[in-house]
Amino acid sequence: MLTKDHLLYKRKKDTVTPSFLDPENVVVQDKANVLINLFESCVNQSQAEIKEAVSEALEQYDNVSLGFEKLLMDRCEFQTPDESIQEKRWDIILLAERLREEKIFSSLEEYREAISEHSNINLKDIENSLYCDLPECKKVLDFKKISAPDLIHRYNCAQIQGLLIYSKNVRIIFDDISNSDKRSLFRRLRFHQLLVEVKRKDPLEVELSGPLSIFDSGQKYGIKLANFFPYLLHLPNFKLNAKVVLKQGEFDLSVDQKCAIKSHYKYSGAYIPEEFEQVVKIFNSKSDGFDIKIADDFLNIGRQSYCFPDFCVSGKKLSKPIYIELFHKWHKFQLKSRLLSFVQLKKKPRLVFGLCKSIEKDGDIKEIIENNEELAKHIFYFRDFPSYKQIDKSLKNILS
Amino acid sequence: MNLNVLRANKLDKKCTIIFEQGTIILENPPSSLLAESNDFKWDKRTKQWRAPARSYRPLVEKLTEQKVKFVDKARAYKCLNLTLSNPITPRDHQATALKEWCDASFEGTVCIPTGGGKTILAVLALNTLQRSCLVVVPTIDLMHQWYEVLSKFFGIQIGLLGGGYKNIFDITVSTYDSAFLNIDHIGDKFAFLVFDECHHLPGEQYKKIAICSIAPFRLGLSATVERQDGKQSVIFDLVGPLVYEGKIKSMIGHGLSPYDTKTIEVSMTPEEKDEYDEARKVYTSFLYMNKIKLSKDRGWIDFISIASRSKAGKKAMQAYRKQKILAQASSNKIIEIWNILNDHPGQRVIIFTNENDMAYNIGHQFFLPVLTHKTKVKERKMMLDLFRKGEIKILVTSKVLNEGVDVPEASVAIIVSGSGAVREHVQRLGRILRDQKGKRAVLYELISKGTSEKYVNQRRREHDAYQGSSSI
Repeated sequence: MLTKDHLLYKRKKDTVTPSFLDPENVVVQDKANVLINLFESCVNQSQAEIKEAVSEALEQYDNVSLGFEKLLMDRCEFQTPDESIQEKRWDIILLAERLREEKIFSSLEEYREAISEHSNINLKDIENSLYCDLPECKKVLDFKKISAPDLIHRYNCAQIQGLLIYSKNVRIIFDDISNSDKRSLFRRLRFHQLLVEVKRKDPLEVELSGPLSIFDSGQKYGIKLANFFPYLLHLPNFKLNAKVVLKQGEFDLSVDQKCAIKSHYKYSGAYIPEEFEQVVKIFNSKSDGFDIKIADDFLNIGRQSYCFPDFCVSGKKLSKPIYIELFHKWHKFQLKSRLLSFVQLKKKPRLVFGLCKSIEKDGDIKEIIENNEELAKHIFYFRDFPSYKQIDKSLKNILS
Repeated sequence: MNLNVLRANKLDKKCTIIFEQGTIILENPPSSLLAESNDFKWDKRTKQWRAPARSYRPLVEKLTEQKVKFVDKARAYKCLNLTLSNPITPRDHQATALKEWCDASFEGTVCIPTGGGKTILAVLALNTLQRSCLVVVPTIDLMHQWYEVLSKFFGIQIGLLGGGYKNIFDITVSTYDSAFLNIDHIGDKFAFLVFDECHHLPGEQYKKIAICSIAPFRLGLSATVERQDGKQSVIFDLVGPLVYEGKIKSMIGHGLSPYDTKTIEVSMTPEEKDEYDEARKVYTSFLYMNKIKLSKDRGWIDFISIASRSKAGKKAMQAYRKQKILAQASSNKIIEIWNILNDHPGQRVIIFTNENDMAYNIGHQFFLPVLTHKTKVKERKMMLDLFRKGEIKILVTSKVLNEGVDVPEASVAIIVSGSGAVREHVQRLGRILRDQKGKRAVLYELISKGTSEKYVNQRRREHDAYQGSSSI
């Protein structure tokens, strides 16, 4: 990420606009390429040497160059310093200590010459090696390659991240977001330990913050927001609005998908397993009262728990749909949290939990279910994926 | 919501306190309490009553006063069974400070000069409270120093958080940085917070440590609690009021050694002086042209802001840095350091600089150990151990040794360069004031003649500790 010194933005009245670079601009690409080429040949060079080479290679060592340099430096793997340097340093330091104790030198030069003489190393070599394990002297072992357009995208993204560090009141609106993207979005927000308040469901509008932000608007969750941001670039039709607190005051920052920045995060998305399609196909072919489909919306079940059911069941006998959420053994932690939230709800949602048999015997989960009669009605068990009979029985059970 | 809370709520819909990420949640609160409390807010995101974790103590006091039965699921700290392995007889000022702090309901700030025994005071306070404790310190060196002292007195496993360590025990020492990063998760584990060098606490991030912890008992320690920005009020708000203040002068002979301070003016070489004058002209002309007065409150901010808008401004900023470095690192200062070292053979000397570059330059010139933030944890520990034992007698440092590191044998300090901040210089002076029989400490300040360093020197001397040598 870039630091405050590398940020380039324009302030106009109450708004702040990051100064993006055009990834297609040949002049900018040239500048990026000069630095990339330099870093590609930087193996065995120290950080200080690279910095010197960068300043020599560029006519203008401006903020953009500094930003590129920082991002490229982050892609370098530096060697672990040779431990023998420290040993040699201490040989010299202790030798100097001993000589100072033994004799009073008439001048600094005489003292320095004496060190050289007793160590059998010439003065220049002692000076060059004494602190040559400082971070700026560490040599580069490897450099992770990047293309010029990708570096420019990374730079543009970092400009926004850098401002988000100083942000508060972050709101994001999504026009037409798919259920799988919503699921993935909420999972990511939880991963980054951000609290989310759903302001509107259609279009989806969320406000992001942390627990303490309701007491002190100065309590920012900037780093978490900045780390989350590159993920947002994967989602279609988003619009982010934030209040950014700079020295000069508070400013509005707006970013949407039109910024066309390529994210450097990998996007795993949320694909629907083939087995789920099979469950739908088999169930619908056998059932005459219910119709099942892959669920396409989330349920807010309170206390920061957003449930993304896997299936939605409708039918003539149902005034409202019933949702089914499946949990396998790798979802044990989420299941515990979901069940605890569920039992706290005064008004229970029409939600059925399908539990893989391998988690049936888990102590905590067993205890929660056994102590809550009503919850037990909302649960059924399956082996790998639920069969028609298991789902049908659970639906009838809940309706009764 | 966790399983324990579920179990508790199942038995009875009791008022329940829960710790969550630096906040406390109140389940089933009595309406009378909410009407009176300004701390709790309805969190519509989670549909719960929430307050910053530091509201834990007033909440528990209120519930107890109103005789409300409650389930305390927030408290994860323990009562300990500590015994002192070496008995401590507190000095008079320590006994007074401890009493004042206890009388202030175990919440308060104590201001004692360096060498006055702040660590021992904290040990006595911890021994009084017998509760899990987090000691927060500004540097890794101090973290190790506190670790040694607490291990020695209590003879139990002490936790470390910071500098590559993450071992949480009933008594843990952490750096401010690591405490800030972890307080969301450990804010329920300690009943007692000790903030060493607590003048750091009011920073935007660090104050979160105090806000996000439920610790009902707090002790702030500093030699110089006053801040130029007046934010010492934040310390008093988050830790407790100033309950005791001791002055350096009044403690000479009672825990602090007598001392002299000497200012030495050093002439720059003609080449350096020419370069200095040229750079200073560029920078002062820019100030004059833009009617910027650095003596005014916003002078420096105006300079940065105006300088960043033009090429001439950027040149002026570069010139400012150049003249400052030239004055701080003039080559004749090296000769003067050599002379001072020869005047104090065999004595323990700390050489302070403002910049790392100058510190390493001195290290290269004299083949001396240099301790900066770049020094690795293991080596800095070894360096300080050797210095304490007297196996090395001279240590060069930039700013990392400004605070708290305890080397009673050090008796000479050479300030090669520094900021104008009074606190920095009182702290540097404090490094050589720990009392030892027959010791008389001396602090040298090297000032480049005919440069702006003389104004820095004048500012430092505003503090009473610098106004003439001690009388003893």
